[in-house]
Amino acid sequence: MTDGFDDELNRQLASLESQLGSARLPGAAAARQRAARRTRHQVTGGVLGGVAIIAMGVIGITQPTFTTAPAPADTPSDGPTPTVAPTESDASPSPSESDPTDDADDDSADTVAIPPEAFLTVEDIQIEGTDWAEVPAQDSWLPCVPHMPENAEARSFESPAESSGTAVRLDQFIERTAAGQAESRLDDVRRAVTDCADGGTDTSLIEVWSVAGVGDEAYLIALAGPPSTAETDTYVTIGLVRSGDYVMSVFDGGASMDYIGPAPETNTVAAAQRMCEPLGVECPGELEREQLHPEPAGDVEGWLTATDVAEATGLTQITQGSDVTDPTEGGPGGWPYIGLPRDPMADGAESMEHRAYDDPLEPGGATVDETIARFGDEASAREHYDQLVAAANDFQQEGDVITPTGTIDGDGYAGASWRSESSEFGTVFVYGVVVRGSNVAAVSSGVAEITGEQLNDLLDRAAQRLGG
Amino acid sequence: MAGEADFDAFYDATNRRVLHQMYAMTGNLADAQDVTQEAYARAWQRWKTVSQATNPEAWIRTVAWRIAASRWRKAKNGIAALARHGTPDHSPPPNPDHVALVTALKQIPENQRQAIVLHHLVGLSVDDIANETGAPTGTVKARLSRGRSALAELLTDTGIEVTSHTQGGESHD
Repeated sequence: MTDGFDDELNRQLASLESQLGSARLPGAAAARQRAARRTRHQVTGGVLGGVAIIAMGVIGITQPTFTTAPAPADTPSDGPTPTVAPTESDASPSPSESDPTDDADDDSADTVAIPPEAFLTVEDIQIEGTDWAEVPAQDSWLPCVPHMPENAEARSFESPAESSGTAVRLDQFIERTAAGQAESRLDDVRRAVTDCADGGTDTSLIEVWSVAGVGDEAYLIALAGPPSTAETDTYVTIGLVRSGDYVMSVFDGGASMDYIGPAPETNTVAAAQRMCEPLGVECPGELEREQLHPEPAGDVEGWLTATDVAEATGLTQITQGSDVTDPTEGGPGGWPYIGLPRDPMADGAESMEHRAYDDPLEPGGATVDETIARFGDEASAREHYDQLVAAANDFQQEGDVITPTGTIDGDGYAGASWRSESSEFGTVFVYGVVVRGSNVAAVSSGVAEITGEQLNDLLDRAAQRLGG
Repeated sequence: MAGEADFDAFYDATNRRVLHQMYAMTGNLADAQDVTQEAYARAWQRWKTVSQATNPEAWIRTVAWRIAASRWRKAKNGIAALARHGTPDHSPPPNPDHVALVTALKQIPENQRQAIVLHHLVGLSVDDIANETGAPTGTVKARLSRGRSALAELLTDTGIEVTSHTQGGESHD
């Protein structure tokens, strides 16, 4: 290639900066806030920050949960060497402090051996293309595996990095408690795990679910902790099951860039299935999950409800709304979809807030966003709305086909909607705005199945929720 | 908080440059804004270690690129939609040369586009690109060579002057 071409290419690429114009990122504080939302509310993908989960691949442990670490890039890995794998005492609550397992050493506990067939096998956890093997059941390097009492029996498995992209491990424990003690023992183990995840500077509790239909009581917990590298942490899914006088726990995890909730139940159910016949306890049935952490926000006055969204759009899987957040913190604000090219804060809005509505069991799935800008008076809100509608009607983005999908005109409110399709990216966005009193609300979604009529129904409901 | 201050200073010093690079890589300003911001959010989640890396900016660029590439693949598979959040676009009208260049870049394979941008915009050597992308240097050279040839061909019909096409890339090591 000639120097002339290269010089021209260099110049043209450099000059692309002028195309950025006044476009800017929302700011460092917004990035930190986005990260904080991720940690607190990992399971609600696709909220305002555009949480799109990296799917670089799946490591072979539990399918929807982990994303593999990216291929090694020298620069990032020039950072500090990975944290040394914690020993039990490093990462787990000290037995004398928060792990009450000493109590479980009570000699009233039955010390009858757990039959081998009650444990998971390599075949149970084997995923095509991976190479799992049983390893000595001690010194787990997964974070927050509590010390277990002597009468707990264990099995451990690992799949090496060459097989799964990153080393992954599964530890299973089954213990028989003294009669009537299983409930408190399960509580103890659960508290030990969640306290460990919540209490450390390098650990975090991602989510907790209660699960009906497996054992007498069951929980799924997801957490992150060491070993860590510049790009990864160790993410662990924990299943805890109480069944009769038995408490069973499964810890499976490995290094990953991110954790994609919800915590999968696959290995926990398989483990419960394995133990039910040999131990004479109930086998798993139909599962029903309830999210305990982060606690769902519920309905918020002035906002669409999850039921509104499900009824208007037919997306019945949408069952939860997120916390209300401030999208302007640290950034310039603006409506959360680029096709609404006018900043309400620049037009005099006093505040902006945002909620996302989604399916807690499918992060990254169907999401509907609502953002409300509050003005000081009706005239200011109306003026912004009129200018916003005009700007949205004129908005163009290369490769996108934008179509108005109608207007609504109710008692004291008005709205308009659009549909944007990109053949290049294969994406569709539907979005609309409504004004009522001194408030302007925008509703948007990337769900192609939402029709203009459905979106207008949603806008109508949003307007009614806004009140005067 | 010192960590916050460090992160904010790093963000302020680098975000415009990374946004520019991601715009060249993605060809879409809204997408570039979102993947770049997402990469910074991920950096903050593990800032303690990212900040100690030799080149945190390269970490951001690498992660942002992977997010973008992942989204393209998802979009192609029809699995998930790409949310385009960002500041309302008050950009000037597109320069025809920019349109031609961005259009051409989007037509060449992802890995060639990445190599072109890293080399011709970021200014990395072949070895640096190999380090950043994890590809062997020979592969990087091939990607640069093929990418330049493809771009030259695609841009021939535009206003961008292309004097000749030759193979190679070694002179840019």
